[in-house]
Amino acid sequence: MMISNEVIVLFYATIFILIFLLLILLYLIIRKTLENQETLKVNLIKKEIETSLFVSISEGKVYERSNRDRFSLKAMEELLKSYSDTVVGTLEIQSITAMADKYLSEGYRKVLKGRSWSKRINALYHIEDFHMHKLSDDVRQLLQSRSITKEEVIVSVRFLAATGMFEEVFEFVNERYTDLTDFDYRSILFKLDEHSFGLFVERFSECHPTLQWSILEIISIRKELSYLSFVERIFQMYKGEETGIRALKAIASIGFTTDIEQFYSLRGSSEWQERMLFAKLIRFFPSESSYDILATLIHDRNWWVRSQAAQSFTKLPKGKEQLIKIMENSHDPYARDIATEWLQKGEI
Amino acid sequence: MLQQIGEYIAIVFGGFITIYMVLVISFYSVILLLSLLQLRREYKLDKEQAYDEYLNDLYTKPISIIVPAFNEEAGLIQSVRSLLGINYPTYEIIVVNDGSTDDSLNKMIRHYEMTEIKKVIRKQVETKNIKGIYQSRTLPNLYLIDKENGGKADALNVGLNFSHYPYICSLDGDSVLERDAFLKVMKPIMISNEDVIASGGSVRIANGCKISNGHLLEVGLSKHPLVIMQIIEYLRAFLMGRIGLSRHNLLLIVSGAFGVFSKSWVAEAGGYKTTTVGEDMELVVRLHRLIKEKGAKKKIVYVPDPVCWTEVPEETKFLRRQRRRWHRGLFESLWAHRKLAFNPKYGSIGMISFPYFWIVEFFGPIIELSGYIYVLSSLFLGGIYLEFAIIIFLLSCLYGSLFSMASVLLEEWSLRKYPKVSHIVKLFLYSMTETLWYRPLTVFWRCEGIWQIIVGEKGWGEMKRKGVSE
Repeated sequence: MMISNEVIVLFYATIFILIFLLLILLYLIIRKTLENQETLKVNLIKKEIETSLFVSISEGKVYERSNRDRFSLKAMEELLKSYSDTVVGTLEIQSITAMADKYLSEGYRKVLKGRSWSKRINALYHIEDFHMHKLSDDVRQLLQSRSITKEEVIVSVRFLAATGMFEEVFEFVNERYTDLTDFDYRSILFKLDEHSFGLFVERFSECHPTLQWSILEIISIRKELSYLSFVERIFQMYKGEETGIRALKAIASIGFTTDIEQFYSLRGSSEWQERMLFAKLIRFFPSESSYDILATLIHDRNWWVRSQAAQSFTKLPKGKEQLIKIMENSHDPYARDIATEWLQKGEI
Repeated sequence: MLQQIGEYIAIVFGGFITIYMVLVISFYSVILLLSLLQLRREYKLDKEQAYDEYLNDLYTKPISIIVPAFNEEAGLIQSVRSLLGINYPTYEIIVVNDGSTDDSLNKMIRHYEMTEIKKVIRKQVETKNIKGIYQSRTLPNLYLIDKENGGKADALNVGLNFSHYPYICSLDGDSVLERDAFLKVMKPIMISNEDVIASGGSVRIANGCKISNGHLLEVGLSKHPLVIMQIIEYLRAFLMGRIGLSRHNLLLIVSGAFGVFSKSWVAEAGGYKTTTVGEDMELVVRLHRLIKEKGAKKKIVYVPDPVCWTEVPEETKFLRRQRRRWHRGLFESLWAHRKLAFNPKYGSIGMISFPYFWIVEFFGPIIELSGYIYVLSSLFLGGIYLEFAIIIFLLSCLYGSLFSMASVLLEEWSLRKYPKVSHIVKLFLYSMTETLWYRPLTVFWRCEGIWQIIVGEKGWGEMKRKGVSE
């Protein structure tokens, strides 16, 4: 009968899958046992060399170990990684780089040419952490490969940025990889030294918008007065556009401007972001008109603008009194609420 | 004559169950394959390294963590402590006391030295009244809101209104997070330029793990067979199902126990719905719907690695209540958005996710239950029935046990949260028995849930917690 055949087929299929799963289980058990043993060995070596390795790093020397088996190298890598996260001195960092070059660079070189994506990424992260400039060429080679993934591109370019290769990095972020996110560009630009970043600022007009925004974002974060005239110029050039708003954000973060009056018209801007940023900037300029402007903005229809205006009041010398006035006299319940909240904030 | 009709019905019925199971098994096999491919890529990636970069203050987006609490005095202090220790640059914790009748409120106030403050709340979603707002004197990023009882969804909405940051995360009061969980779950949001509007992590079972002071010290395995079976079930749902679905933006559930949402999108969608017992799924469905209706290119994703450890019922009585409630929640979400099912306007969500949830997740238990009844009764009747019964039994072994065994192996192959060899062996052996007892039990409870829908039963049913921390 037909059904009987199906029962038999199904029965065998089930048995087959079962055996297959059991084999995988067996493989995983063996793997776990071996790996648990390996971790044990690596941890033993780590304990053994930890102190002398640390002494070498703090003295800026290179620790010598003749045994270079897999376990020793793994232990070394893990220890160097944990130190590289914490040490800041140039001497110590140099020592970590020297040791990574000596013991780990060969392994990384091979991995970068290998097929495993996750191993390549791990190697790139380590190369970046240990500042292994010696491997720049290998990283460049990887960047030339056709099958490279976005994650690899970002870490690689970031690494090159840290080595101060302005021209190269500029080409990568402005021409070859124009589809990265704000976030990625920022993480790359952030690695540049002051000189290379200055070159980016110089060539601002050649950059595509996302890159421009990231440059402005970095200036906002670094709050460096030396870029003030640059961002002021950008603000004027790109008024009313996204780029202009980002430039305004940078100015508000730096917290200074040569001429606050040039921004006065923003209090009536149709973009709430501009009104809010203006409210933020004005807290650095204690003048009669600042109090008036903030008093207008605290009645804004947008919550963010109101909240920023109230916050800015608290930074001005006579701001508290003004807030109390608003809390007691304003006809606008929203303005009263926000004034009350910010008055109370100082208490906790 | 009568016997012939009987045989005919038996064959048609048996055939129907068989075809159903074959279809579902094929569907699961495809999903399993998708998950495998995805996990393979990240295999052996050094996770800590990959997330280091995001820890930098400049890159991370601040999160408001909302902890709704209703009579959770056993675990609340501990889970807040676990939150205070997470590895994330900027966040605030908002505990919302949903009219607890126990001592939750006072315990919180005493333990974290909280004082009442005045604060304006931007009312983006309508909620029940707030009785008081407190802030900790020692930890300024810890807030406590006391409100009238209105259910979990209402508490979440209050937290949503109060929150200061652009991303919100809802977290159950009895769960413990791994330290890097937020970094990992936020990564897709950060790198996608905000194209990802919700991101969920895995939920694992804390019973049997060593937890002290709100921190996970050691992953272990419970001794209760019922808990072990739930571990396997969670592994299967998260590793096998969600990875495959997330890849193609088909995800309908971001775990209520641990998910991050973009606040503006949640507010625009109208916040959490208070009239359903499955508010987490309902919200995700509503977000999908909003995305499609606005024609936006936004995504909802699942990240397998960040893990939130949570307590599950150890007694049959409470597990049964939970499953019946879940099934009702599922129905409420599917029914409220029934328009989406088989609607090409909603793309793959309407054509794949919705039909899957209706047919397999919702009606599946009824078909499975009738399959069990068929198998049992054929033992007495013999003949032609018996052969079909064997087919159905073998298929349900494939369906239940084998997929679960595969999930256990997948876990050990990719994420490997369980440290000992014995853990894996134990999980594997237990998963072999799934078809024989655990699966039929849950199927039966879910059918009970359907029955409750028919007779119109509402409410959560009381849950007992003993607290996961020592």
